[in-house]
Amino acid sequence: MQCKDIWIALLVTCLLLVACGGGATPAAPSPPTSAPEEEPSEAPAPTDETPDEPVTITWWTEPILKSNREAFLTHIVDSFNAAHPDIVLEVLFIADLDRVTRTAVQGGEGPDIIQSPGPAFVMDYVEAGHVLPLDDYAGQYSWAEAIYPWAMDVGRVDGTLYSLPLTYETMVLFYNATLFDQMGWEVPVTSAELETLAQAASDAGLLPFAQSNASWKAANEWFVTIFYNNYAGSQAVYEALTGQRRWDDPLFVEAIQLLKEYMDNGWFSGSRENYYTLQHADIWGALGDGVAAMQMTGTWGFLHARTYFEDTGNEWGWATLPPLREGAQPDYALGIGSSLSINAGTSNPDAVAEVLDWLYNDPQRIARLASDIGGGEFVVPVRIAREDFPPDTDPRLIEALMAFSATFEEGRYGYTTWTFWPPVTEQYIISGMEQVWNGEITPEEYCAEQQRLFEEDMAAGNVPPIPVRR
Amino acid sequence: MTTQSHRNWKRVLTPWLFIAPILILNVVIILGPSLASVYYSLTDWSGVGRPTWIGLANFERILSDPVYHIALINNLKWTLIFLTVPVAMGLLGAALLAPIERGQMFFRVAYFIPYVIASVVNAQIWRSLLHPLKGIGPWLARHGIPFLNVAFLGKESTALYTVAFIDNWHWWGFLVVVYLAAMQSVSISLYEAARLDGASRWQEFWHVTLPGIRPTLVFTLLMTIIWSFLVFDYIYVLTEGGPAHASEVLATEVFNAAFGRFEVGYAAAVGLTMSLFCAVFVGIFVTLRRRGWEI
Repeated sequence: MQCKDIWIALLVTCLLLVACGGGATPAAPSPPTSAPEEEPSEAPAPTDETPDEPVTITWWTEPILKSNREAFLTHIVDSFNAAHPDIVLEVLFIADLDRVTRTAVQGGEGPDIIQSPGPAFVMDYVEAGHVLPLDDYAGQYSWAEAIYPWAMDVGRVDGTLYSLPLTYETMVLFYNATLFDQMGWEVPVTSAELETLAQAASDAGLLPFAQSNASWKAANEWFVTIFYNNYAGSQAVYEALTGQRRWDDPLFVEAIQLLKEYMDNGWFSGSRENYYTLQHADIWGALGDGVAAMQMTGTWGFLHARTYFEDTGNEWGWATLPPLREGAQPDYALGIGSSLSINAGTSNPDAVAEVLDWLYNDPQRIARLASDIGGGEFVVPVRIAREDFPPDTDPRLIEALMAFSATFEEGRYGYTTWTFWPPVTEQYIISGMEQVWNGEITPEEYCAEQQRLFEEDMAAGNVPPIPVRR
Repeated sequence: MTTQSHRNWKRVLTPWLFIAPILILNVVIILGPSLASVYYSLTDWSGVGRPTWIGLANFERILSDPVYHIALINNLKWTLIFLTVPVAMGLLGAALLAPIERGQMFFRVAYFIPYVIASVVNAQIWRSLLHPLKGIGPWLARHGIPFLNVAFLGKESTALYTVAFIDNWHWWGFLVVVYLAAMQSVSISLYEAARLDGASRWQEFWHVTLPGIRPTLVFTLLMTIIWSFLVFDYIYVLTEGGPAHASEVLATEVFNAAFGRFEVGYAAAVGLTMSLFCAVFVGIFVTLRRRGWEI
């Protein structure tokens, strides 16, 4: 009996040790990656490595299309590592990046380089002390000479620089140029022309605008961005973001009413139901095949246009979105796709700063990357000249980048909701718009609720820095 | 006496030692975070930094939050659907399958396969089948049958029920297997006695089968209620609670609050209400059992 008891005790003790020990505990949690072919690797915690060994800097970033991953790794990661034998840059591609990063950082871990969806999201990290100021590094590396002033401004919280944009973007109009030629259509430059063209496409049995939110529910806010800036005007949006104008001002209410009319007319993919169910591939495929005439989307669409028009025999074009109201003066709406900061928990902030500097210090490298990727991502906000682009760069991409970067540098910009609205108000913009479309609430009620939420956000200090227009 | 006391002590202690590992895991992984959730529900917290104590403000907000009310009603609708449709289908399927001797395994496997396929995969399969331009509906419409040519997932009036249909397609086969196993434990002599008394198939089912599988049936009903309040995956993959909150449930609202609006404190409060609803039903079940109900 006693022998049996001893065996029982040993077994239970082993089970206890297994349960409590759990094997080798990684210093930092291994985040999930979105690329199955990538070998899962753990994000190493900052370590005190001897000066002779290279310092490892970890950067968690969003999943990149496989076709673009090589360009990113070649132009950014491999080139940096080759030029810096004392630093090893490790990049992990992670789905749900923001959620995973926030959880890891709050747990005291996370990557050395924190990538967040934009300035509004950096503020939380700043408030919690999770990111380091960058002003000293900005001076050391003379970032102000290479990076656009507005890009530095959007990264400031209470005057201190905490983040730099990794990619900037705006909203444009893509169209099937071949279809336009066949139908004798001209690119619209006024609201009346746009609406006339949309109706003509609808009458011809085509989709006027290939739009949907099934693949990205937040797409609703793209159109709110466009209609706010292009109907109410970028100055009005600036005034509202800075508390000088209310969101239930008639200009914004009318903008939302117009957006509702576009949906009611069936101009978005033929019907509201289609808008909610068609996937990304469906709408781009429709545009590429000439089943749809136009699409209002961000400049990340340059990559998709390249993909979905290939082998169709059709050509695509892009155009500035026209004013949606006579007298409106819109500028390109400034969007920050993502921002980079230095994790306050890193033990190698200088090395992290070197990585950041690498991203911004060579216009030709940036231009090559933009050309290879197609302009969808990693459009870092540095001054790039036309001659910096490789000869085989799509001229349409060059024209677009030159156009909106020039206006941004002049201080003329509109404002995108995902960059400059506080999170709670932004989420209401997305979900509330669906209630406007189905008639559950009126545009007045939608704007009034937005005003209420914005006031709360403003009182709580959640509104991100709003770059001043010139 | 010492030996007897030692034996008694071992008899009491030994079971606890065996469950100690899983108990420790449970405390660390479940109880600990659950208690933390209670704390966070009383705070205003973005998920980063330090939470700010606000007392019951989150719960007060729940009382007047229209999205919460919509989500709760959708959860109740979902519960009603899953307490009836898949249970009825499961009972019917099991009852029809029980007397089959040759080929029964084939049907059991066929009904069970959707259950073992990942929910994301199932959802994508049905999203393709229900595609408004390339799915079954448009195909039938082109062949003269137009009534299914509807964007089911894109209509406010059908989105929730369509997702429920898809989830049911994956779920009912599991119930068939469970009920079939329970039915096979009912004594054959009871059926023979019923037939001798002239009972029909339906009477056999109602008076012999159902009472015989009552414990299993009640267990699945109870778990269905609990899981209905926790439903998330199919809804999030297929509609993310849209369009316009038409398929919003409490779990998607928790997700949106925590990771969309960064209102983690409020999300914790909503999550606690989900636990509360589940606890109420479990409490009813336990109370009825203690009162002698044979369930």
